[in-house]
Order: sequence, then C-alpha cells, then structure tokens
Amino acid sequence: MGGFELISGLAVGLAFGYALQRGRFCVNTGFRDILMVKDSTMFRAWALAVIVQMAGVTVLSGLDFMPITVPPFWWAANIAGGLMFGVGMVLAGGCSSGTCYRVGEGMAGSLLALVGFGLGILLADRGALQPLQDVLRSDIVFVGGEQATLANVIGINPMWVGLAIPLAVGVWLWRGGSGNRQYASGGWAWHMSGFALGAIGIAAWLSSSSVGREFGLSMTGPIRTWFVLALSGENYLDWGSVMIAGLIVGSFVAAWVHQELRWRVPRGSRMLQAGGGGIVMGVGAQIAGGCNIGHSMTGMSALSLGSAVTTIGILLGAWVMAYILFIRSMAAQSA
Amino acid sequence: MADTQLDMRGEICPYPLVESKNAVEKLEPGTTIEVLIDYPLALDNVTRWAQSAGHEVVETRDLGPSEWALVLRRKKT
Repeated sequence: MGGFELISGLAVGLAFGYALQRGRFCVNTGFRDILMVKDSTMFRAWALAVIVQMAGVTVLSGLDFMPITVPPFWWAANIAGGLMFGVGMVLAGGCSSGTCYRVGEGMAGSLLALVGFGLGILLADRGALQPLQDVLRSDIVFVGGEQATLANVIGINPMWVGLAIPLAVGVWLWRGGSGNRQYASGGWAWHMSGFALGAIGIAAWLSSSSVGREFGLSMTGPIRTWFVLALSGENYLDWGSVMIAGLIVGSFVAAWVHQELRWRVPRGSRMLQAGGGGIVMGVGAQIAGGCNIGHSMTGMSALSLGSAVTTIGILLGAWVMAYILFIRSMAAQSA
Repeated sequence: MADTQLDMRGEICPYPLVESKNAVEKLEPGTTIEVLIDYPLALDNVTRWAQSAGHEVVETRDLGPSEWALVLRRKKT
C-alpha cells in the first residue's frame, strides 16, 4: 500500500467518522422513524447526503475527471440482500456506518454487532451461505452491454438524470424547511450532516479513484478485508480498509473532544440481539454487494439501478422488522 | 422531582424512544417522568417526539459525559 493511499484513506475515514458522530447519523434511524414516529429528520440528512454526492459524482465523471464503477444489477441478490440487511439493522440497533461510529464512542452493543457483521459477511462470502450468494447473484442484468443505471434503463444521458434527481429531491428538502436547528444533545442539524457527508463522499470518490479503487465510501468490502486478515491471514487491505480504521478513530476523537466518550454495555439479551442482528446484516450486505453506504449512498451517486433496488429492499426490510418489534407494541399501548 | 423515573441507560436504539413513548402515554395527564439516557441520538429523538406529540419538555439535565436526565410532562388532554 502506497503512502498516498494510506494517508488519503485515513484522512477521509477520520472526517467520515467525525461527521457521523457529530451528526448522530444513522440510516437505520432515518428509515425506521419515518414510519415509526413520523419523524423524517434523519431521513432528510441521508437524502441530502445522497443528492450532494450524486450531483458531484455526475459532474466529475461527466467531465472525465474520474472513472467510476457502477455496482451490478443482480436483481435477486439486491432484493434479498437488501431486505435481510434492513431486518438485521433494526435488530442490531444501527446500520453498518452507525454501528462502526458507535464502536468509536464506546458502545459495547455496537462492537458485538460489528463482530456479527464481519462474521455474517464471511458466512456468505466464503462460508456455508456462499451457495445462496452464488444463486442469488447468478442473473446480472446489463443494459446495452453496460451495468444498469437509472439513466441507461430509460435511455437518457446520465448527466441529466444525475442532476435532475438532486434538483427534485433538493426542492422537496428545501420546501420542508430545516426545522429546529438546536438539537437537545448539541449535535449537528440534519442539513449540516447531509452536506458534510455528501462532500466527504465526493472526496472519497476522488481520493479512492486516484489510487485505482474506482469507488467511493463503502463498509462491507473494507470490513471484510479486516476479518479475512484476522481469521485467515490473507492481506487484501486497501484504501477502504484504512478508511474504516480512520472512521472509528474519527468518531472516537469527536466523542472525546465533545465529552461524549463513555463505555456503555446493554443487558445480556440486548447484546445477543445486537450480535444476531449484526450477522443478519452482514449476510444481507455481502449478498447484495453492499450496504447503506456502498449502495444507498455511493452506488446511488453512481446511479446504479442495483443500488436503488437494494436501498428500497433495506427500507422495506427495516419497516417490516420495526413493525414486528416496535410499532405493534406501541399501537397496543396507545389504544 | 419527577413523579416517575425510567432508566434507559445502556439501551440500544430505538428502545429509549419506544419505552419513553409508552411510559409517557401511561402517565396521568399533567404528571412528569424523568428519563435517564446515555446516548445522544436517543436524547434528540425522544425530545423531538415529545415536542411533536404536544408533551412538555420540562428539563434536560446534564449528568456527565453522554448522560442526561430528560424530564417530560404528559399533556393535559
């Protein structure tokens, strides 16, 4: 690994972890709370992060400033993996990025969820569930010999689609207003988090592409590299691996500086739930070829159809599990 | 001093929100509950839910690193 790869991956990871912690950013919360308590605050942060990155990637790749890799549309894997990931993240109490930054803050439940996530990835990538992954990934749909995107399936120039979606979503966000900018915990308001994470996403594409990894932020692949190294000794560490390490350190620094660092241990049954949810999340993310970051932010910014379908799967999986675990009991309580 | 207390320290997301909502809805109108929370996101979304549901956020007391006591009063009607 070269010096620039190491330093740029670490720098992007540190910024990413810092922003995740200050924004308390969690796609699990964002997707779940629009249904559970009709609160779209965190969903808006995610949507803003996606459109900022999508506009940036569209312009930079359109001007041939950087090459991009579009995640494939292996529809069965996208749907099944997305649903599993959504179910798993509600059980685990956090998405993959939420789980990682909370490790940096000192949350033991998230540490166990991260271990489960890594084991789930290995289970589908090279363990007992590998045949399932192979079957689900066997049918890849191409459009005109290229990976399917939201642009080429409807035959429109990607520049138009990649700017029209941010414009439309941006108008929706703008019309909704920013709401209360002062949060009880003193963290960043949703629009601050959205802009910061979108900008960090663009920086990730630029620095990662410059060292030959033609992609942006991701969690599943990088986490897999660390678990493969730890369990089998094979060294696949790359820009993404360093970025993940930086993320955890960045979140630790943010929590430390703002006096939010604290070792928190849930009771035993909740620890089991977090670890089990992590495994389900890991299997789902590995099968789909990415998670709420690799697909729902980075892949979406590359207009990947597979990423859009996976994101819808994650949303539906999260809603089903939130309904089973929480919404039913809340409705019974209110009645 | 609040009428009842709910200790959500150590809980994972979203149990603080779910349990706080259930507990507030069990209160007599006008009475208060003190919720102990040790996760920033939970403090934010419990506060946001209470305000949007029309309950009063009486006080947010800082108890130390990432630890708060949130006092909520159930709305009158």
